[in-house]
Amino acid sequence: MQEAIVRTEPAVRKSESRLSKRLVRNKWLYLMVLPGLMYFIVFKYIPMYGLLISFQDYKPFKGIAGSEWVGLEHFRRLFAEPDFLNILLNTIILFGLNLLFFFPIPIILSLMLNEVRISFVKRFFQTLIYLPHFMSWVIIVSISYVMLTMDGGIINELIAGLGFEKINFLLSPEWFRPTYILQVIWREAGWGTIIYLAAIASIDPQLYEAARMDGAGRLRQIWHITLPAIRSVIIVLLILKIGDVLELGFEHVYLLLNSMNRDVAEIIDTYVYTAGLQQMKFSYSTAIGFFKSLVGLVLVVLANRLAKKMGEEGVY
Amino acid sequence: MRERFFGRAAVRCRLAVWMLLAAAMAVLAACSLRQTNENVSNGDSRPAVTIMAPLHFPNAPAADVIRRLEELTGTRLSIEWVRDEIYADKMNTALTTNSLKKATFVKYTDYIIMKNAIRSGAFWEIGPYLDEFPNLKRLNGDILKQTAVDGKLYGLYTERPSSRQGVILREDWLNNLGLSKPGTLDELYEVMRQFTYGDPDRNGRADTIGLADRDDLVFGAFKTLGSYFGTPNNWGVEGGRLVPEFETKAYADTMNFMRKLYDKKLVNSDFAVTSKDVQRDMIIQGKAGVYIGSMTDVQRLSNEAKQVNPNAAFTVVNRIEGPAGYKVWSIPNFNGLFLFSKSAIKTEDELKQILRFFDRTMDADVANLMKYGIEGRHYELKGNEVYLPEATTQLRVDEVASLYTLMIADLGNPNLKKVAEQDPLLDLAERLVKDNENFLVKDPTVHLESVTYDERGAELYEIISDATYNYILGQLDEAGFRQEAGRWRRLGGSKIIEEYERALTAQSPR
Repeated sequence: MQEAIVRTEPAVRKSESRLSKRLVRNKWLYLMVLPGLMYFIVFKYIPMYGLLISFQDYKPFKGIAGSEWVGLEHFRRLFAEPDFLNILLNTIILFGLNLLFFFPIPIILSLMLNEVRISFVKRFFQTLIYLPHFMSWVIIVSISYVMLTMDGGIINELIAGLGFEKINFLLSPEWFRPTYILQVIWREAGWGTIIYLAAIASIDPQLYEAARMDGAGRLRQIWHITLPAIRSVIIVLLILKIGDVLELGFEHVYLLLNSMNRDVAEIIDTYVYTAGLQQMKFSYSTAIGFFKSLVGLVLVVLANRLAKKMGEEGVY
Repeated sequence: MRERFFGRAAVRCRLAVWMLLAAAMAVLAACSLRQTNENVSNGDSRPAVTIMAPLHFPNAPAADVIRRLEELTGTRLSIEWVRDEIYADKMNTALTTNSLKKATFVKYTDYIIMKNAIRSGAFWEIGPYLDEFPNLKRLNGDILKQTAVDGKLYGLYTERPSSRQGVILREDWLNNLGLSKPGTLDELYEVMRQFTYGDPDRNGRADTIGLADRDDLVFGAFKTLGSYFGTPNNWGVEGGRLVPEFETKAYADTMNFMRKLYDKKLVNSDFAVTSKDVQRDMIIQGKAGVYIGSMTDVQRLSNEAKQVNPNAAFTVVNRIEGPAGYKVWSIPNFNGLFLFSKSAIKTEDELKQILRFFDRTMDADVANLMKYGIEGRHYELKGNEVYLPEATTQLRVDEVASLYTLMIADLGNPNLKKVAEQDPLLDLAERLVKDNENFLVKDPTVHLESVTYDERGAELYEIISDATYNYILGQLDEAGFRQEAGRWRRLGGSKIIEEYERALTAQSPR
């Protein structure tokens, strides 16, 4: 439909009349699109006007109209910040680990679930692994704290019981990243299987039958039928995930952040909070957020182009 | 292609949240405008007083207590109670969206960030009006001076004692070990050591530790221990020059003391990430025997510990002698301020109505109602003193206690009645809080201004608190700590020192 609108621009009479004819003929369909369109305009496009404050010395009391313009001052400060490179690096490393260790897990899980023969057992486990998704990060991090603490936490008691030295999981920079990734897997892996399972369910069973006739075993079937069939879904999800590159979950990281692991755990989101919002520097915070989104935009465009080169559909 | 791209993926970006906020601002600003108009057009002649204040208790005050308050003060009150934990965020949002109430409570810890708003003219300057009111003109000039921004007064202060800091200990454990209350730092260390290794609860197992601490270098144990070692309160003054506390020897001594506690496992190993709830729990469950912090916490700790173990007994100590004798750090004498928003109060007359309300709250009838509740229901009079029966404790907590937040300058208010008798532990704690007044260490910069500090102080402080933790946990050596202190200076610390010193010499012309 958006294409239709774009095409009105060249003021060629012929196409115009064709368009209006089409509009009239499909008016109910267009009417049905309207609420969705309004939603995007009102809640997504109009608010972008707020981005202006990243170029201002914004004072809430004076409003956007009354605040002073400072140009790229906030961006200059951001790039001049001595910790900036480290923070960006932390963010990217955490994202890379996320992609490497977390992303494949829902795929493997859904393949495994798909092989379960008794449908009751399958559904039972499916529900069971969804559950953590509905717990907030506060709860996940608190449970981990109770298990990992050196003052009587189960895991450290176990380690000590086996005769090893207790490990200071909570306060050591080396353990921050593993803890983060494991918690993400714990909470989100089950939830991530939903789309893959749906995609798997839509595969034509005849393909499997034919493969069995040809003597393919379980693993062969997975490799030659299931995986290729859900390939496009995997790629779309991968691209979307890359769009979220700097979206690592503020709440989660902020809860794990402490004085000892700040060198590896400070990411853009937490920096926005401590250096910007907590001290009411709205312009600076918005500038950082703006920069972050730009990085996300570039990455998505690149990933999409790459996907298309590989003959996949991409997201647009 | 571009449009479609935005529609699909980028809209999910965090930015969108920010932009939503901006849209919300416009809407909310419009709403608040409408609200104030309603107040005026309403037929009631009593002035409307709107207040935003933090709620420290489960319930807001009972409706009939509020009604009594309205009758006495001749106002129509509308108080927005916000849970204390989210108060700072809520206040920021109200400020951002221009929807502040006529009077807004600001905690002294949040005051720094409000100063920018004050300087940009969001609040009324009330200094010139105070003399018109019988009670307000008698407010403590010294405390008012501490609250001033660029020499001007903007707020009415709520008061609290200078220093509640002290040591809470398990008395029964001391008795089991045959120890007396510690009076010096060495004795305090010995108590913690024996609480850890001497089986103080006599259960035959090594399941106790000395100190329970939490992830707070200020209101946890560290700063108070620092005072005992003779560390200045944030800044030391040496011949007109300011020295940040972490560059003093006493600060290093305190870090070494904490490091020793950590190495010898006399303190919970995860103290750097322990929350206050977990810390309190360790005391309540009888896992740890020393708590350094606000001494008035002892009453609730003791009550809750007795539910776990009826034999648990507590005591409080405030005099711990260090190399420089008795010392304890103090906070500014105000706990917070009521600020008066220019967007909610349009005229001078309206401002005076609000000030009149606060003036009235200091009169005997209103002040006693706010502090103790209604006579015969929440308290009884014994002679001229207030008797608070144990049976009405819960009732007072439910119906009256939260009103205390609204009381300005209550410690210095002679109109308030005295309390006849109360819980002996709390009584002891309060006596020791008074005793602390004898050896306070004040922050010399309380009434000084530094623009850099207001702007970057919190960010810079993080460098020092991180370094301090890392030193205590052995991740950083002395040279490393000095390096971090140097980083603090480079990133703006030197500028803060400069600005404070300039303000200091300007104040004391010699």
